[in-house]
Amino acid sequence: MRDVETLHAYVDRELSPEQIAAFEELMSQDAELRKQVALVQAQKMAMVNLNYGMECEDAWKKCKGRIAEIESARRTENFVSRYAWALCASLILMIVVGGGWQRLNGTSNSNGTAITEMMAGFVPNRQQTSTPAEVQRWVEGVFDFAGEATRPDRLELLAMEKGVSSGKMVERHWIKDGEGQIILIAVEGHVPMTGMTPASEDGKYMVGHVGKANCIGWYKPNYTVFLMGERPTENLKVAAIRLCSMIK
Amino acid sequence: MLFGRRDKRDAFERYAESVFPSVFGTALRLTRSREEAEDLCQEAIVRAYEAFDRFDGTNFKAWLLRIVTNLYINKYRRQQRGPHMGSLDEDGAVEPTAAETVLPDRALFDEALGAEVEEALSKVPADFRITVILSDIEGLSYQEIADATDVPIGTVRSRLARGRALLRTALAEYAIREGIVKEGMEIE
Repeated sequence: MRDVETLHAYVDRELSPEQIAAFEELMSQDAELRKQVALVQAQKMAMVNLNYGMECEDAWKKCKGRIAEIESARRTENFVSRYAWALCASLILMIVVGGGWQRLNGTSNSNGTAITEMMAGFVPNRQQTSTPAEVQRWVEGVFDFAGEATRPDRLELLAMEKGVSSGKMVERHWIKDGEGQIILIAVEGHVPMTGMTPASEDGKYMVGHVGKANCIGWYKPNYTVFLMGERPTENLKVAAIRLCSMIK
Repeated sequence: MLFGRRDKRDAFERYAESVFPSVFGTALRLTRSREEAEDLCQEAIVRAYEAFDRFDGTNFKAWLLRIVTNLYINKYRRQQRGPHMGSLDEDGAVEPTAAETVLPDRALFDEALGAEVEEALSKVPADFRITVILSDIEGLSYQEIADATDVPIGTVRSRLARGRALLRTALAEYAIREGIVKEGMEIE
C-alpha cells in the first residue's frame, strides 16, 4: 500500500476509513513514510496559503457589465418577439398612410391613366387623319413662329397622330427642338389633371410625370394641353409659358 | 424557471461575487496573464449566467471553476502559446521519487513566500498545474477535479502526485539558487 498516489490521497483525505487505518498502520512502522507525509502536508499548507484575497474588483465589474449587456439584449429580444406583430402592423400602416399622403400631396405624382391613354391608348380615327400640309399649318398655328426659341428652323415635326380617347378628340405631336424631343398632346375639352400639382401660384400650370418623362399641363378655352419630355420640369414650364402665349 | 429574471440575476451575482476571487485567481494562475485571465473570467461568468437555471445548487464554486477550467482547456490551450501551455506526457512525467532525492524540507514550505510558490507553480505544465491548483488552492475533491478537467479520478490522483513532485522540484531549484539549501543535500 506504500505508493505515492495513496500517500497523496491520505493527505487529501480521499481514502476510505479502512484504507486510512491500513495506511496509518504502515506509517507507524516506517519513519521515511512519515517524513514523506509531513512533506506533502507542508506543501499542501503552503499552497492553501496562496488562497489570499486577490485584487479583482475591476475584473468583477467587467463581468457584471457583461451580465447587464446580456440582460439588455434579452429584454430587447423579448420585446421584439412579443410585439413583432404590432411592429409589422405599424410598418404597414406607415406605408399605407405615407403612400396616401404622397398620393394626395406629393410632388412625384403621376397623371397615370389619363395621359397614358392619351399617349398610347386612343383609337385611331382614320377618317380624320390630317394631311402633312394640314399638320404643318396646325403646328405653325400653335407655335405662331414667334420668339427666338420657337423659330421655324429650330422646330421639326417628327410625327403627328389624331384619334379618339375616352370619347374625346386627341392630337399628338412629336416635335424636336434644340434640346431634344417633346410631345405635345392636345385634348378636346377640359380633362382632369388628377395627381398633378400646381407649378405656379395661380395654378395655371400643373406638373407631374409619366414614367421617366416630366409632364406639364394647362387648360385652354376649348382644350387641354400636355407637354411631355425627358427634360427638367422648369425647362418644360418655360416652353409651356411660351407656347401658351403663342397658341391661339 | 425557478427565479424571476431580476431575482435570478441578483442570486447569480451574489453567488458569483462571493467566489470570484477564487475564480479570478485560478484563471490568473492558468493563463499567467491578467488580461487573458479577465477575458477567461468574463467568458466563464457569461456561460455560467446563461446556464444558471441548470445549476444543481450544491457547490457553486466547484461548478464555476469547472466552467473556467473547461474553457481554458478547450479554448486557451488550443492556442498553444507559451512553452508551458502544452501537456506533459503522462507516461513521461517526472517520477516523484526521483525528484525527491533533493527535497526542500517542510521548513522551506513553511517559510516560502507566496511569490516563490507562485513562481514555482507557474513552471509546472498545464495539466498538472490545473490539478494542483484545484486541489491545493481551491480545495476541490478528487471527484470535482475529475469533473472539471473531464478525466477519470485515477488520472487526477496521478496528476496530483506528479504535479506536486514537479512543484517541489521547482521550489528546490529556487531554494538552491537562493542558498536556502545546498545542491545534493539530503534534508532531514
